[in-house]
Amino acid sequence: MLRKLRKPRLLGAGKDLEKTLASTALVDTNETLSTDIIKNEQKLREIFSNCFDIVFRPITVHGQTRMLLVYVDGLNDIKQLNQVVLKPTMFEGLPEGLGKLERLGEIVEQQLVAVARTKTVMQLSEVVQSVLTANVAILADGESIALIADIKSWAKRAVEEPASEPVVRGPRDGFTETLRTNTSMLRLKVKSPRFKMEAIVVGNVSQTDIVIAYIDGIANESVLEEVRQRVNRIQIDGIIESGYVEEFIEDAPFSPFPTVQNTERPDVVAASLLEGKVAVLIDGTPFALVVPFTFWAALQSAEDYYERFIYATFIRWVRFLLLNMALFLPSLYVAVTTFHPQMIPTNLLLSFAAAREQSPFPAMVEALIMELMFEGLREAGVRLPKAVGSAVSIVGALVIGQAAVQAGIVSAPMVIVVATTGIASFGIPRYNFGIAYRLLRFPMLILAGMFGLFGVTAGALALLIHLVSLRSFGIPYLSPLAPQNRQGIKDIMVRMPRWALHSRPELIVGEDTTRVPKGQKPGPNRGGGT
Amino acid sequence: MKLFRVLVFSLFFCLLLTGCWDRKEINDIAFVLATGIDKESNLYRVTLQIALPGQMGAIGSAGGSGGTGGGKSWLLDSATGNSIRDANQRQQESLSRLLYFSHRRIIVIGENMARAGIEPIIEVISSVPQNRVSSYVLATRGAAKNALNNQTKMEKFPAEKIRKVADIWMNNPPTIKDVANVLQTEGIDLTLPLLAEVKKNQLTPEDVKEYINIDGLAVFKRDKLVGSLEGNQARGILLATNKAETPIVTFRVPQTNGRVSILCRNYKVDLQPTIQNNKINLTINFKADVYVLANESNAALGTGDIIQKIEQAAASEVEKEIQDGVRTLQQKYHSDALGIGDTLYRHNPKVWNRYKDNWDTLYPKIPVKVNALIHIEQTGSLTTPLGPRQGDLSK
Repeated sequence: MLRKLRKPRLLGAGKDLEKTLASTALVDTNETLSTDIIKNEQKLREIFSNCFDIVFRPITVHGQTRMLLVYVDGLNDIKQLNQVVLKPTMFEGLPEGLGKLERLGEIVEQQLVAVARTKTVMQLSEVVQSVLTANVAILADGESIALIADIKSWAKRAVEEPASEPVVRGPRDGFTETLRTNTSMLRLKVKSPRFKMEAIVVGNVSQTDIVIAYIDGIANESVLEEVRQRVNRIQIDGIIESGYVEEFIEDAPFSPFPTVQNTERPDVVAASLLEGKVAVLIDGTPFALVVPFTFWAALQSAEDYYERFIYATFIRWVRFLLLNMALFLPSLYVAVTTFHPQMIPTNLLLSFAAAREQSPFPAMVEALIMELMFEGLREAGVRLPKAVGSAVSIVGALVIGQAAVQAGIVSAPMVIVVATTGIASFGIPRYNFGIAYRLLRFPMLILAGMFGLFGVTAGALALLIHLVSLRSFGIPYLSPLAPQNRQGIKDIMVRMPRWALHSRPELIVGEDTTRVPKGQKPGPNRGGGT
Repeated sequence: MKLFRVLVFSLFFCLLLTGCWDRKEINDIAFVLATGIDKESNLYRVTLQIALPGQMGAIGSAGGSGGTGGGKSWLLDSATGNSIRDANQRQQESLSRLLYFSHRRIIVIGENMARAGIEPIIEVISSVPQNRVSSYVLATRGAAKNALNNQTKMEKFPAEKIRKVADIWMNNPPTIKDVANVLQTEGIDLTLPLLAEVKKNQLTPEDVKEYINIDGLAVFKRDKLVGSLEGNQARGILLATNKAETPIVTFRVPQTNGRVSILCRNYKVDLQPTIQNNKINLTINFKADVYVLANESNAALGTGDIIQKIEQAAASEVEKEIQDGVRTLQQKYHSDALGIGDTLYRHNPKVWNRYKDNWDTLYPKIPVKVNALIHIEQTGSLTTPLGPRQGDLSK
């Protein structure tokens, strides 16, 4: 019964979709422009009916030859349009210099407008498409072709410091919502013809531009092919954010661990490209995707490579510690206090016991409540408007931190454990990777509450097995540690100095494996000096 | 496939059914910090010192009724039984929290119990994993239950105090593990630090305070207490067994007019048994690097051969202390606390096998010679004492 009810609705939705698709890209696929401009105008007006933002600008010169400009209002540089199209045709007449024109239509035929990017199209659908992608279409009476002039310009957000990945030292520019700006930022960083950007349009309705960026020879051909295939496979009505694409191309959709990296930083993308990775840039979002993504990449911040290597190594070890704390600290506390009190030093245990004396809940329940509360505080802090944001921290600190402990509902050590865990989970540089750890804390806590350290060990083992079996675009998630590679470890457990990082990640890179030629260690006896 | 999923799910829920079967919340446990064991006629009296976390005045109880209510932060509970376990069972009946022994710091053995033999105690304690074998074992004059009932000011628990005092009094105080080891080994007898209650006058004669402290070594023969060593004799034995913690030796130096105190920083003891004409001799070689702590005499430490004289005087003082202690062990208690038999066995198992059957009669007659070699490393920041004038100095 249900099925019968649902089926027609689904069909209806499908039809709707087809209709919308038809109205943008697929309608009149093969219909060419006619030579009669009035016919063309009628058709275009029909297609763009009720489109408030489409501008039709007919031009009549000498009362005879007629031209028509079609564009989306707000997406083009009107000043430039006046300068290069309207003024010359209306007031200055046909060019009399090198190429003398007989009729106005030749402007279209010979692409004679002073715009850098132009092209001619024959089909109606192409005209529609071009107009929608912020071009100006110029049609002339008597011509069955249209001139497409690219004078895109719309309100853009300026290039700002990336909010999600700030650094102390390093470039401060971040991607914006405009694909063209983003690609230009990358091109500025990698000025090589080997740096390729392949464009694909995805999203039947939204017609979103997606760029697959890589460096020819450095990127692994099989990874690249895989990315192309997975992106081309996507069938969706629209793409608003890179997350849409990520969910279609990731390797393990049900794993808590992300297999695709996202970043707002052009320098991170450029560095990844130089490692042989492939980037996917999506129009309309400042977040670019980078694949393959490994466990270790999640623990590296851009600044690791800008600061000197000793500090970078130290901070990496701190991160390893934080990572383990974020996952295990609450469960270890629960396991040890409720199952193995013999493992705690006597004085510490007695302090715990004194603090827990009045606690009405078992340690595990207490931990769960506090962890959930913490997640709630964090979420509230992110979502709240900035003006009321500080209220959350006050309430959080006062109510949870102070009042609950004083009332004896929560014990003080638990607050310390939860707070430490929270800080630790924010110490992971890749936010989406930290989410995995924040989530896994809960099953781990339940295991600890049920089976003690045995449960924690079992959980850790299961996690390890999962991580080892995970792959991102064919690259083992734990590489270069799990399938071990000595050169790779130089950039994992430590961060060797630049001049010692000779090769690119073995499993990721394509043919060109050498990054830094050997023998560049600075020293007093190196040539060149006096 | 669907069946498989259902199976996996139901198996997962089986896991949940187990619940938390081993769970012991720390507020359901009574942490035993010390056990005192006495013998009363043929019953064991077990006294437990249990921590009361609620009385510790920690955060969380700040506004509540607990807090620093003035009560002791520990509870003493005593019961008798046919065995130690039996007594514990009696105690558990009246306690609302589960007795938990893995944080026990010390075990105090009362005098009667020690005289009757401590083997059954060690057996019952070391056979249960929850009992930590690293708890210190001490003997006490009189009853153990009294030794545990002694308020301390510096530490929260008497057990903690006694443990720390033992740590300062000697090097590596014996733990259950050590005691069990010694009891298992032939040719060595047990000594334990001996607790005693002492009364000390404070500022005025009326202001007498009772302290519990360690005032000697309890000497055992096999597992039975035979007596005790105090003062210099006890220290002699500690020195000879490498267990004295930074010993300070004070002595007179010939040709001077006062005492000198030295502190043995590093010392080494080596027992050297020799066999001549079927007779066993023992040489104790004692070597120490010392520094002069106090020089009340008129010896000018920086000049002449006075240093050698002090070294010799110190050596003979140490020799005397060790000699004294060993002689008392040999002749009064017949207890081989130094492990001379064991040393002999290590040097020459065949000889030991020959003598071990009548070791008890042989042991008191073994001549023991002590060779002490003292080397003064530092004399402090003063070479000549500040008091005496130049002419009065002895160089």
